[in-house]
Amino acid sequence: MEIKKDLRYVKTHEWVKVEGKNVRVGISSYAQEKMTDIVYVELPEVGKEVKKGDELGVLESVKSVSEFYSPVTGKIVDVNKNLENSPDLINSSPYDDGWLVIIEAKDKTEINELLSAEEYEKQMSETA
Amino acid sequence: MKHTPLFDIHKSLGAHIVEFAGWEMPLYYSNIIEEHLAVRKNVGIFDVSHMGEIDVSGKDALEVMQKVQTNDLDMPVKKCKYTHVLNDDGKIVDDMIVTRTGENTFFCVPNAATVEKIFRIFKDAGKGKNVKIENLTDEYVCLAVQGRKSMEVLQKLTKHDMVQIKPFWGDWVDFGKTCLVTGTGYTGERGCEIFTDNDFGKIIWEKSLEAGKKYGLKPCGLGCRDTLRLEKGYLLSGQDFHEDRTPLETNAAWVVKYNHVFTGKDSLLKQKEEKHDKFVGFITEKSIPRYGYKIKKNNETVGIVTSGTMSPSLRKGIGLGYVKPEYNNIGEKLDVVIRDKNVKVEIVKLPFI
Repeated sequence: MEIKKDLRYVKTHEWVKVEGKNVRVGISSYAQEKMTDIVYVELPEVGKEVKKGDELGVLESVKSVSEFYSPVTGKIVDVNKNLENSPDLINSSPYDDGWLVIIEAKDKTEINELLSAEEYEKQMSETA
Repeated sequence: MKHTPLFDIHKSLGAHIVEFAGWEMPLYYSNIIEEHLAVRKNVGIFDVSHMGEIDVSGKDALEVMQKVQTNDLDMPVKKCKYTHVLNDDGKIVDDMIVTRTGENTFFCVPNAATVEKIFRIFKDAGKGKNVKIENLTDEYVCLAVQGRKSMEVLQKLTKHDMVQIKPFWGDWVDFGKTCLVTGTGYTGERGCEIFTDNDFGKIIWEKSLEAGKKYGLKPCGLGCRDTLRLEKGYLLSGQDFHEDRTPLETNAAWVVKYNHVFTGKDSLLKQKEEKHDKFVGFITEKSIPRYGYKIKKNNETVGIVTSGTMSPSLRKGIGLGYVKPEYNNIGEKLDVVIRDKNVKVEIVKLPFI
């Protein structure tokens, strides 16, 4: 299971990549493996204002339903429309083609509070 | 937690294990969709040894069976029938397949969660009768080999003409040891279930995996067993009913034969004259119906979803549930409430595929 070193993470298994004033958000390889075949994705609307910790949408596998949460406060500026027809991109490419949303972050200090790859890995080894 | 004799084999195959009805069972080995499609296109093998096995034998065996089972089990030897056991109110305690293994012997396969209860019901019905009722669940391995290539694979293991194992008929097959084989399953595909002892079960599993390689056989878990049965609209005991529904409500009137006296019969005869809920199927374009979601008509609750998933064959959401009398006809347009949103559905004829 891969944990990308150059990303930041949230306890709830989202990853965050800083792209200028925006952040790109997805779920970790650990999370997609745990969910297995993702078959349906519900994404937020572009333009929606969100707070850190808000529910952004829903991922469904054959057996289960899971929510994913906003890692920062800000505005949704883009969502991955390819997931509508190919939700399995999250399984095959969780860190690239399977990204979920892009958020314009309001407060950059929130990003610094996110977990580093090492911290995320440590947290998982403790809960596993 | 209980384990089937094949538990270590499943772990060595990398199975993802879950708890089901007190058993630790494989949910999937590779992934649910792949395993599902292997069964629909080729063949898959399931360890379903958590299922119960109850043997009913003796001079009064038929009489006792007829007393507790809705279907008419006065049938030829080697015949298998799907049947229900009801309580006095006509509610389904469990569904099962019964094979007449002899003039005076019946082999019953109830569900894992209900086997103890069914055993007690059989015992009570057998009081004072010339009948022996044994719960042999721990003595048996049950392997389901399912899919259009199932008989070809098993033919590699025996001289017995496997094509002769017809749907809902059983026979004794020599795989190196004689096993009871029934033309049954829970997938809607051609296939069979093999009942054998714990040690020989492991041997058949290994031999089938080996012989099945060139037929695309995959070991399959309970995950795809659920999606396969859902696509066929089959009931899941404990989920689609748990002593709260009658066979008339579950669309299983065909397993009730009124030519004999059985527990719950009077209640059914009464309900026959009344309007009642009905078990229906519906398809969603995108989002997925799940257990417990409400079914509405003009914003009024008229039913409830009891099973739902993404159909791997249709690539659409499919759901099963109960809907009130006025709204449960095929073609009826309803809403399923998914995360506070009304999703439009239409009742379709079962099975889905």
